Amino acid sequence: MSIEDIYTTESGAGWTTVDATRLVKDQIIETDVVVVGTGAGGGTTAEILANAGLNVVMVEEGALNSLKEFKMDELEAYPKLYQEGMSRVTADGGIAIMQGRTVGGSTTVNWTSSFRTPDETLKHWSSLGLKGFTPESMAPWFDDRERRLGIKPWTVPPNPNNQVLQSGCQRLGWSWHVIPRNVRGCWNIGYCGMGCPTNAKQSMLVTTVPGALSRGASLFYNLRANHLQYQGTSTQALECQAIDPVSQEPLPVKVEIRARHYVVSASAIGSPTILLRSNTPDPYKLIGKRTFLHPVNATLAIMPERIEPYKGAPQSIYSDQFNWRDGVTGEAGFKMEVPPMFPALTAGIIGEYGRQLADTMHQLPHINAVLSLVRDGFNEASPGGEVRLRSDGTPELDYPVTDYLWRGLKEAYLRMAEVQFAAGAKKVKFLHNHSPYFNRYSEASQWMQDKELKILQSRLFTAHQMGGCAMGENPSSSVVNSDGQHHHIDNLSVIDASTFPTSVGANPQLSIYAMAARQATQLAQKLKSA
Amino acid sequence: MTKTTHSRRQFLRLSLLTPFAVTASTAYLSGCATSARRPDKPLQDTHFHFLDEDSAQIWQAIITVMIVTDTGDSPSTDEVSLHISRIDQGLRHFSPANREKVSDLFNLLSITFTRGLTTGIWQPWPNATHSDIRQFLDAWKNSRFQVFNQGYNVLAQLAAFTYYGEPEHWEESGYPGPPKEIKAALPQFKSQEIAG
Repeated sequence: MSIEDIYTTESGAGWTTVDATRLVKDQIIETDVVVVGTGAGGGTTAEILANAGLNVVMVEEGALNSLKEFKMDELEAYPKLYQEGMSRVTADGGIAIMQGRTVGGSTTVNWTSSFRTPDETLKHWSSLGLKGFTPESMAPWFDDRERRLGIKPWTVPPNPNNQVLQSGCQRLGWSWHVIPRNVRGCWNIGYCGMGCPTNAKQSMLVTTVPGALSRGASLFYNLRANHLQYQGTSTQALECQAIDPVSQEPLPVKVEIRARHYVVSASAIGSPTILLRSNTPDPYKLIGKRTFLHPVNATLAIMPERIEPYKGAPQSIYSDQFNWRDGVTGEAGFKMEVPPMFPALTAGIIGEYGRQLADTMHQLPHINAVLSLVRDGFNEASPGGEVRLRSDGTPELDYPVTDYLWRGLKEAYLRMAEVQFAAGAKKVKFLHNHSPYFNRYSEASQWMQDKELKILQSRLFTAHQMGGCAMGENPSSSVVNSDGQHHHIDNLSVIDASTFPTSVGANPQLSIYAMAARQATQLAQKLKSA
Repeated sequence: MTKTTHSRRQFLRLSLLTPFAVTASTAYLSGCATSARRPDKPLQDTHFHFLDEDSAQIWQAIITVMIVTDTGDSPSTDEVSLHISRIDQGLRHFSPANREKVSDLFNLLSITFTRGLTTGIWQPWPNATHSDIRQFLDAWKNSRFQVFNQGYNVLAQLAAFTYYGEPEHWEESGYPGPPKEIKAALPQFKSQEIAG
């Protein structure tokens, strides 16, 4: 199969893609539906609506980066493809936020892990009053998206980095499983996080966005959805502004989009931002609240064998041994996985300098890292964060790490070190500014148990942003209903991870795809019959 | 919540210091500006997009301590120049709000009064010894004030991320770079020479 950049070769010849920075004057566009965002929620929604015969306009704040830009180079890729040039952090700087900002959103840069929403989570959501989210009613939608995006458990043997987690779990008698991935014809190279260089990853960039375009939808990129204009309970227009793709400063050109229906799919930080900027009716002050991150911590091991943690499918093994350790709503559980370790990313996250930094970096081919993503939002001691607007209208997320989360993070640190030593690690260190290397689990465990964990000293990350426009049937505790329909504005939907009432407890992309497929299918039927 | 409020108050206090410190440091410098030793060799590339000369000088001083090369030395002036211009490139892509935060940090580090107060380095950056700089970095890293932890994290991350991400330094971490045969098979590398 020949590999080509579908956006700049014949494949995309008939597609309408518009770089907003090239527009010379303001525009007014009329359409059936405008979809804001082209990530997991927006991409899925746009294709389904276009397939139903509706006129669709996609608005994307990021740039159109496609195959020709994907050169497997960290310093080129991260600033261009991630939010705020890979500098997005929570308000106190304590959690680094990795989130895509490009056509395809985070699906363009994620590591391909594709889990169905855990039954525990779906049952919990149903117990909160959500309709249509039982494991039985969601099953056909998972099937549907797995077919569309080639999602299957990875059949190639895990790379050595993932094998460390696998063999450690085996020795300790902990559960482990193979991760399903959304790939077709994957070359097993490992550069998923810098934009797939072979089009194998079935991101929105190469699946649903082209699907929508080939059904006549149009795509405006480098265009920020500024605000929605309301009159009474109806949306009149979406006002957008061209954005410089490098500096992210607004440019003079404005685009006004008038549609029958408006779908906001700008993800957990972006969607509440647009609703807040638009002064959307919010009688219970819920917009932007309950934002969840799956806070991630990690440990680093020096293995006797070569790991080459930059080679091969980045994530293929996971362990849920501790994910539901105290029930769904008890102490914070965590999912264990491994991250790929490329030199810039590794050097950036270990928090060292000088000789110590060089000593660790020299051992990169022998490094294994394990990460834990902590399940937030299931317990009242984990109320999540809050999206607020800065003076320039861009978002800032305040996310306090509560004692409840610290307890989960500490347990995760301990278990990760334990699994690495069980797999034969020579030395292990916690990704914490004060952690030395430990030669034995007992030493590491003692140090961690005595340590009071603090923000900015524990290195924390998030690659999964959820919540902020919670779904529910009760308008006093939710922003949209179970179909993604806004409670107070008739022709407005929010379809993306921002509507999740808690975190997922697993990498969220398939949860978003399946939910969006169901909600968009319903929306298409509604708009067609109207 | 209180933690956040606390750190914000710290930052605010530091930014409130700035106008006063500008006046104070100007007065201070007018008396002893000649005591500043110029670096042995000026930076090669001063055409930055974001950094100014003051902040480039700070980077120059800090990087020689933050980065230890293969041979156990500090990087050469040429390497440091290249490194600073790559940091500058990365900063161009920061959001306006985060660029402003980085600017604030460098203002704090370049004005004598605020620098001395927060880092213990009262002399101009080119005169600071490696040991002075190490003391400052460790103090910020281990401080009980979040604002200093954050400052340390920003400096350390930018320096380390950029240095080890540069193709010239891949070898130092044993990273071979993307496989040549893969590059040869992909259209996005076709019109270019395949780098070794």
